[in-house]
Amino acid sequence: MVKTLKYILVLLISILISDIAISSTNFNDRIEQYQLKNGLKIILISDNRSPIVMSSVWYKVGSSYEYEGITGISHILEHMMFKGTENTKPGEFSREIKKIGGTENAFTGKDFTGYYQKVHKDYIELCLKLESDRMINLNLSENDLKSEREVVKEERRLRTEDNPISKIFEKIGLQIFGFNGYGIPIIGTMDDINAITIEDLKKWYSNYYVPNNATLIIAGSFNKKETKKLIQKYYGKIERKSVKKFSKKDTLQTSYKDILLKDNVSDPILVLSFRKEPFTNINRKESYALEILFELMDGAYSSRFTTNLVDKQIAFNTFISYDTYSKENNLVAIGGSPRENVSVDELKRLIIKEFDNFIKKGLKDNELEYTKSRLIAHNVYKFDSIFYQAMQVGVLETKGFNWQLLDQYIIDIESITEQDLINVAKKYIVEDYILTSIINPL
Amino acid sequence: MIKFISTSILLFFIYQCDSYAYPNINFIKDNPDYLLIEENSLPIIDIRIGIKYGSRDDGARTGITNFAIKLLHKQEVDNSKLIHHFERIGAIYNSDVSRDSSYISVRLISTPENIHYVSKKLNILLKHQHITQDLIDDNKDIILNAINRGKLDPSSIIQNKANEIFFINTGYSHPIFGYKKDVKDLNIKEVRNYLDSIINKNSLEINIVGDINENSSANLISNLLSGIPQGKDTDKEKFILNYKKHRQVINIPHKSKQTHIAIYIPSVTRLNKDFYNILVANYIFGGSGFGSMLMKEIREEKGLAYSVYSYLAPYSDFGVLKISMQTETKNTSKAIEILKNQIIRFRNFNISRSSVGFAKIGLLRSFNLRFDTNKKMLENLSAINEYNIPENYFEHYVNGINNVTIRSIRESLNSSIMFDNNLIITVGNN
Repeated sequence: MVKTLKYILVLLISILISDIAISSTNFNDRIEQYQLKNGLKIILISDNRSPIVMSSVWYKVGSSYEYEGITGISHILEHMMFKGTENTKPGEFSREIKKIGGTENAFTGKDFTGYYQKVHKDYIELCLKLESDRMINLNLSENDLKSEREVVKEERRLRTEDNPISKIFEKIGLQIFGFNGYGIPIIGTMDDINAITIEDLKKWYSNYYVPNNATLIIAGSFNKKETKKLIQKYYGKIERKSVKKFSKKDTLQTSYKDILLKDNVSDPILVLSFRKEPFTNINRKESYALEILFELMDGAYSSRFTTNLVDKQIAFNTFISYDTYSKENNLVAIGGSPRENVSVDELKRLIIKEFDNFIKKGLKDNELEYTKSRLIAHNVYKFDSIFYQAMQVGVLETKGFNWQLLDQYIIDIESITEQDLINVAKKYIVEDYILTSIINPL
Repeated sequence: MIKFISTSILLFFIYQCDSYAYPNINFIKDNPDYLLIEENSLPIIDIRIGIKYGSRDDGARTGITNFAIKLLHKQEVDNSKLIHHFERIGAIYNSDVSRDSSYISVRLISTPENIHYVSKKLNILLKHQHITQDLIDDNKDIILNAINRGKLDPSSIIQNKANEIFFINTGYSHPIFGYKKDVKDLNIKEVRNYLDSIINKNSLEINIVGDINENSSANLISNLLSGIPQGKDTDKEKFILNYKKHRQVINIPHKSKQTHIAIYIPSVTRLNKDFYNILVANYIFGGSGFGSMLMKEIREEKGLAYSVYSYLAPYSDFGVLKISMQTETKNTSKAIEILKNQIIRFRNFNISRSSVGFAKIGLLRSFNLRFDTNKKMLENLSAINEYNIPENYFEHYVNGINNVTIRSIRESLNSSIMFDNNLIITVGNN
């Protein structure tokens, strides 16, 4: 016990020392933030560990902005952004980045669509030039849409239709939220992927792809003064435009009726889902308490699910899936696969019992300290990658939160007590509001 | 004027150094098996212990290497599993087994106490004195379950079947997890004996990246290896590729919307003289994402797949050029035809000089991106150690790429890639 506490103390001291001596695990020491006159938000994250820089543009639009009939449109538009502009041919963007040895890609989430290039620092200008060009000059043609629609359908088959777990998560989202907010599948339904027109895409692009709806994040090694000039040169000339909201409400009533599927799985898979309230600055302590509770339950080999369910041969595996920083009502999913001589119902009972035991008996020796030390150390490890730094900042910014939360994280985590964990367990793990879903083998 | 010229030369020199600022690799106490990249801008240390045995060395008991390595962190010491000891200080433990080798790795916050603590725990782990029958039974259950899961996963099915056929009668033909029967029959004595045979000072390579100097690294290694036997240099069995079924096509029925397609073609090892020629050629063919021949034809123009790529899998005894894609089942024949045509184009290699030039520049310039995190540095350091690539690796790589020409590529494709000896496997509802 004493020995362990000593290690935790040393860990915390080392992080504190690193803040002073190396100044490397605090975003505030690295970030400069400002805004162009057209509303484009700029975040510069300095990290000179290697001569690499990552340039990324984040638009505040994703699947939660969509509605039935056009689900998946943000994602299709992401694909179409590689089809050329008035100044570049289809695929030229990627070829130019490849020629300089860079990597590039894009991603669509529930609240954002992002594009990035990672290159040697000498080539930052090329990234800014090409990315700013496709913010305003994208060519959207029927012909390109025809082939890219097929690519997206293949992606849906690969990621969802031939993937039993993704398939059940899509069904759970739709049953709890309908075609609203986080219930909408990011990739879209097959019907909507087939139905989206070039006109729909043009409307989506011209509405959301404007500087005042975007954040430019540069992370890595770069000359700040020069980069600011280049940002002004390429992005400063783009005009601000008003952004409309297109979303339509789906009036579907939430149902907690069990979902039962048969699919290509070797063992049954149990998923217990419940709603989590959105993250706000006011309730952030509750969100972090939930994060610690889940880490304590299933975040590591020494967590309760692993030691009590997997190691005791109740389950082959367990999982908890959640997003701390959700902008809207979101789902938490808890589950696993039972071992051969254990029924799904028994596994469900024992998972819920783990939370009940925690509520009744509280923490075991050092459990909270160990859990916190893991979260704190992992928070330092994230600084190994400029990509990950930009991702953390970008996700928070596009969800309407502030990157300063990242620096506050350790202080917030440290302030969570045993009673906070018991309170969130009592609040969220309520059997009447849990949706049970099971995939059984064919 | 002289001052101006010398300043220009200096500036040019600085620019060159900065442009290609590769990390400095040190031998720890002059031992070529223990490598260090000191990188102290973050309070992190990454340690990776390479073990020179992989599933190719399983012998008659398939899966034993994977079984034994995945058991180590589960040993119980002072009433808790060793992995729990690492987690207490926020360290991340990992282990994995490939065909040629295995590794265990730990990432930790760099304090002298943590370094000492981790080295002691790793020492206990490597000595493997705490393996029990219960542990063996539980590990069997978990691994047998993973084998069952793999039988329903199209990417595992296709890989396992392709390896079985293509690598027939070699140590590379069975799955890394092994066959069910072999895993079921494993016993505690066999596992202990196997660990005795693969864990010794001769079989371990240690790679360290991060906030630690050479002396501390040497102390860490000394603690970590304390009491570990020296072992002997053993000549591993060399395998040769026996596959000689020209252009064989095999389908494995599987209920799915897409059909997975894999093509295997005999290629070169990492240390082969033709390696860099094939590397540049593959970059153009299917190894570089958007704009590669495969991506352009299959995805960008025909919309037949979300992902299609080729890559060189350089095992220690032979290399394979692998091509992989998935497409809606009704398009399978069409996709295979296109792939075959692209392979013919690749083989003929009527590619412009400028395309080869761009590929070389792209590969050289992207080299920096392979060293921009400690994690990536560790992966590269481990590969350098495993392949016994000399300490002037960076120079070798740059020279290797620079020396590639259209002519040298054509010669290498002609002499080192056995295009006619390919295997095509599909998994789907065909």
